[in-house]
Amino acid sequence: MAGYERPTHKEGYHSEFMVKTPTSLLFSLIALFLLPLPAFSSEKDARCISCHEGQASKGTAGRDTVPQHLMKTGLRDSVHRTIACINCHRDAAPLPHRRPLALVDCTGCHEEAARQFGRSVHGAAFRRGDKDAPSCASCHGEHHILPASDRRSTVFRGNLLILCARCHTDAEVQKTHQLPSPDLIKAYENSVHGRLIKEGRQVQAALCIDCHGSHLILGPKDPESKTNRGNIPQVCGRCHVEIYNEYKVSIHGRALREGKMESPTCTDCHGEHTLTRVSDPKAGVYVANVAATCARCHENQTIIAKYRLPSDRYSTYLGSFHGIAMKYGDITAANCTSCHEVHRILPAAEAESSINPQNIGRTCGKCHPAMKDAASLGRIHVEARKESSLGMYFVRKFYVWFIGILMAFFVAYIGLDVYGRIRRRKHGR
Amino acid sequence: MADETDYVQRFTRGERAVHVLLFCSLIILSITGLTLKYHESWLAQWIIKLEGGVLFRGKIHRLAAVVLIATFAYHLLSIVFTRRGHEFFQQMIFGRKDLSDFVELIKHNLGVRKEMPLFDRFTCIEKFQYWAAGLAVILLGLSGFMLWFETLFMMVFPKWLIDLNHLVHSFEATLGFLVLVVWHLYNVHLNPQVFPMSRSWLTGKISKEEMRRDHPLEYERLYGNDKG
Repeated sequence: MAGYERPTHKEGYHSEFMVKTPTSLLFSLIALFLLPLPAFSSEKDARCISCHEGQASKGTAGRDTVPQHLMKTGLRDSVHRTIACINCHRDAAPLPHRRPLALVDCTGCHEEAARQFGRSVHGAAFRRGDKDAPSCASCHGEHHILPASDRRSTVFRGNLLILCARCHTDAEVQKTHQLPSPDLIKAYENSVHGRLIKEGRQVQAALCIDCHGSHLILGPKDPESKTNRGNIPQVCGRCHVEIYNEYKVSIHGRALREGKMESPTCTDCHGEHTLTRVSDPKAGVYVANVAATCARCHENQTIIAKYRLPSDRYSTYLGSFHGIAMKYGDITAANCTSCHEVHRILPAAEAESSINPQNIGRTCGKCHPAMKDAASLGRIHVEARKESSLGMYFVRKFYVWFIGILMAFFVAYIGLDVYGRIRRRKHGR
Repeated sequence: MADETDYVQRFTRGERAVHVLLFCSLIILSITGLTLKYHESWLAQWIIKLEGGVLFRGKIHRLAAVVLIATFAYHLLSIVFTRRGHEFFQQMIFGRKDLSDFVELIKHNLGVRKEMPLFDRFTCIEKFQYWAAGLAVILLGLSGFMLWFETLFMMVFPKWLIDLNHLVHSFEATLGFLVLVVWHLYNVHLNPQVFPMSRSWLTGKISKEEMRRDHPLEYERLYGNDKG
């Protein structure tokens, strides 16, 4: 096992993620006083201490350096401080013990965590003997294991990003294991969740483990993975409860549950690591970008054909007053969600739908108060096709022909006029 | 410069002022309207920026529309309440002669017929321009008001009528714009006889010589059959 160094606070990337709220500091101090003074557990340990604690750094008979620091700094305030050395280092019981000692197996006590880790992508890599694969100690430390609630712990929420980033922003690791690009991981820093964590304002904001799991990290294709399309709404819904409840009943939510995997989940509109506030002009869900975001699926001919969705929704919107006004910066103009709802999108045929003829007045009335009592308006997205909008189709045809013929007549007349003048001039009138 | 008596007053000062307001408003309406219709082209987007964005563009468009409607109203009032306006309108009405004049004109240009048809105060070409413009202003004005107060009209008319109205406004405006650009521009600017332009919109006058050539019946009515 490669030695593990706790991240020092001097390194820029790391220190930014330390949680600095006075409340948490206070609680940590109180907790320190409440804890019993750390003490090594048993007499058994005394034997270990005789070699591993003290000034004598050299063993006898030309042996290598005896590890000292692990005993000194590691165990005193660790969660394992009351556990005897040989409980973990079982092969150290007969002295002199063999060197190096075997890797510590945590599964004996941490059965559930070990089982989950074993199923995870990390566990699989570990079993393969991948030298980059993390073990328990990679994340939790060796001797200096602190509870996740301790702000000095590597797995404390405020420090977690540093921990995961250690491997996942490493270009070498990324390349050899074909992991997502480090830029994508770093983008989290600027996401709405990342900022909350970074500024120490909200330790509960979604972190790596909240969406990917901690011990049971699975690939997105695994149906049990938190990042599998079908599970994303529940994952986000753990914090965004109300929005999840709206989404759940929407046509998108229902379709996803029915296994229609093209149906959008939270991340399709909001992004994942790049997720920003709705007010951010770069966000897919920013008021001016909503139509283009919806169009990613609703203009996708494969999806339209597969689920028999109405076509031309985007182009007809863009050609409408709302679409044009929005395009040129009037962000008060309606976009898709203004009429169809944001998370609770329902088909027009359903009584609850915001675009049901019975409810359309109320929907339009949000912006056009005079229309709040209006009933069915008729077709909103007008394609001017023969089958759907006969009047529009014929008026357009009429004008195109009329203008065409009239212009041909004008040009003919002007040509004739010019011809007449030339001819008369030639013949001297 | 020819003697003052060599000229005939064709347009009054008021009529000339209205004409200036009319074409200024039409130019502004065309620019602001066409940029909206063809908003996807880079040229339109550049003009929209010049116009101060798509919302301010709309305000300019409606202001120009009010000016246009005012000139139209002025003209209507002059027809109803002034003798001159009344006569103007009566002489604008199409008659059977206009059709035969037009046929004769074409024959003349083709060289089939030696003589030009004899026109009165307004030629068949001018009458066509007048009525086309008048009808276009009525249609565009009405459909424009429906677009301006869309919410109000949405309460009264079904949505398909509003959509149709939108389409009519857009196409009718394109038609009007093309009529002005192709027809009017040729007849009063590019026509070799008047190039670079007929100055009567500024001076209000045409020479007796021009009148005798282009409007012989009117000339005869005013001055008898003498040769000026």
